[in-house]
Amino acid sequence: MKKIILKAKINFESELNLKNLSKINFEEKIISKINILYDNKEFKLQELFKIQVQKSDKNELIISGTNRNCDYLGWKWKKGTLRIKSDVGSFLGVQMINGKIIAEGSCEHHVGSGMTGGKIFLKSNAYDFVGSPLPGSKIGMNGGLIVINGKAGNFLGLQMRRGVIFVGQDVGNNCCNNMIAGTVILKKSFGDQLGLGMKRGSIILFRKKIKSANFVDSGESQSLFLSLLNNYFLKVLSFKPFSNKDKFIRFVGDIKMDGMGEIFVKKN
Amino acid sequence: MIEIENTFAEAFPMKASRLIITALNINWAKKAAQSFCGFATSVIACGCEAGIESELSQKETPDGRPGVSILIFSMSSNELKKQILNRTGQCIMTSPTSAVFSGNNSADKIPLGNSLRYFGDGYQISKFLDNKRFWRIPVMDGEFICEDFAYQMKGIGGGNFLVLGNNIESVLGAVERAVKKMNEVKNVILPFPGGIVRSGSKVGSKYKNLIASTNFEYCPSLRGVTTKSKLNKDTNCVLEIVIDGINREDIELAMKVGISEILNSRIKKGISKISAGNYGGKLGPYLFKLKDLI
Repeated sequence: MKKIILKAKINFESELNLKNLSKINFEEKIISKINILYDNKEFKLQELFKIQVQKSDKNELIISGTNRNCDYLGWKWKKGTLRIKSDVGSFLGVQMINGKIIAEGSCEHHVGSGMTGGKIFLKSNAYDFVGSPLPGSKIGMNGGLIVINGKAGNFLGLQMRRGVIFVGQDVGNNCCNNMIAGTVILKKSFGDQLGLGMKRGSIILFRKKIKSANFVDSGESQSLFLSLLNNYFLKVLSFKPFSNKDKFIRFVGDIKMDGMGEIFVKKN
Repeated sequence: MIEIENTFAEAFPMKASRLIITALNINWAKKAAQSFCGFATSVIACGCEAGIESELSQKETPDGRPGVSILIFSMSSNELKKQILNRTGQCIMTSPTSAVFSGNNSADKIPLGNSLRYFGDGYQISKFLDNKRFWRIPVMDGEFICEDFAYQMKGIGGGNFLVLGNNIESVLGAVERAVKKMNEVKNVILPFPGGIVRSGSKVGSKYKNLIASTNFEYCPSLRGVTTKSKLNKDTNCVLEIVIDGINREDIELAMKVGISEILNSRIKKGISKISAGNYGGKLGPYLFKLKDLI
């Protein structure tokens, strides 16, 4: 097992494409062979990052000194842990397959777009299109878990098909639009047009009541699924988003699309 | 002095699976499990052998409710699939507040929610958590939650021992005490009523269509009628404990615990011998020698 530590040698002022970092195989010595694109020019990894390799009890890639210009980190990530000590650009964990990504800074757009497995933990905020389709694609997040402790922007969970998203702070407009399935938990407030065009899937809310005409009140619900979800969070994150005894009102929609999506609103 | 006969129990490979049944309280979880395990004493005519393995606390179940773990054994994969699906649909889904989850993992899948979901008539909801799919099927008390698949694993059926004695009161009492202790062993079940069987069988019959018939060697009423009786004049009662398990070690442990309980009990009056059922080593590859266990 290896711990690979990358420290940026320069301040990245143009776009840095870190897609090739996902080629790192912790078993083989290919780090020095990896090329990355900076400002549309190809560089050896060691030209832009100081590389340290240490023995460890788990496979881990730690990267620091990145900023909002550093895109495609964790692209198709499938093994080990990727820990980002600073801010990061767009397309974090795009099409991720397995493993874990932990970002201590904020992220730009398209976090976890098209991911099919694995776990992404953001200790700060994310901008738009979290768990949404990649540009030109029809299906959003298709598995895995995204946990955002901070805020998230617009179009979170757009056309989401599978997986779980948890947001600890506020969320922007058009959250969960055209959602196909999956689960989204929003601890704080959310913007306009929540769940518009929702076909299936579950949204769990704690703060604001639904006023949209697109959803109908289905009455109090004590779905066992919520207990199952709670236990899943306890197992993965060592906390429960709500108590197993909490009561929820269930709304069903988007009825204008004959949708069978559901929004659980915690009863105060 | 209780004699341990120099013989062995003969067991055979089976297909097995473990299910976890939960409910609002342990009472209803047990009711669902007992219903599932009803008419599942012997593969001779029930299709499967099933029993409650253990009770589970809230911390041990996927949905944080009290539950029970049950083990199901059958002779073929197809029969196991059929029995699990039918029994889950008719006995667990119908039981108030119940939910069912797989209790083991393997590459051999057994459709559970994957087939039962159609009962939802299009209103069923799929949820994918932690690499497992769960089905939420709407029912009249809310939702029946059911894991997509159960999984098949290897099992062993037919571990056993016989308790021989002078009268039914003594033998039944001894066997009951043994069963109580054996029920504490994990990975095994005792599929017969109360864990005890009185109608031990042999393979075949004089009647062509019967695959099993009474074990005449141990029937007190046939002493003198048949020359092959293994009972002496003082032995008027024989009861058997049959054990199915996931592995050889746990069956051995269960047999050891049960036999030791009888041997070490203060109440030994009326018990004369402990023996075991076998088919001369021709039926199964697992032989449990009684003398080696004690």
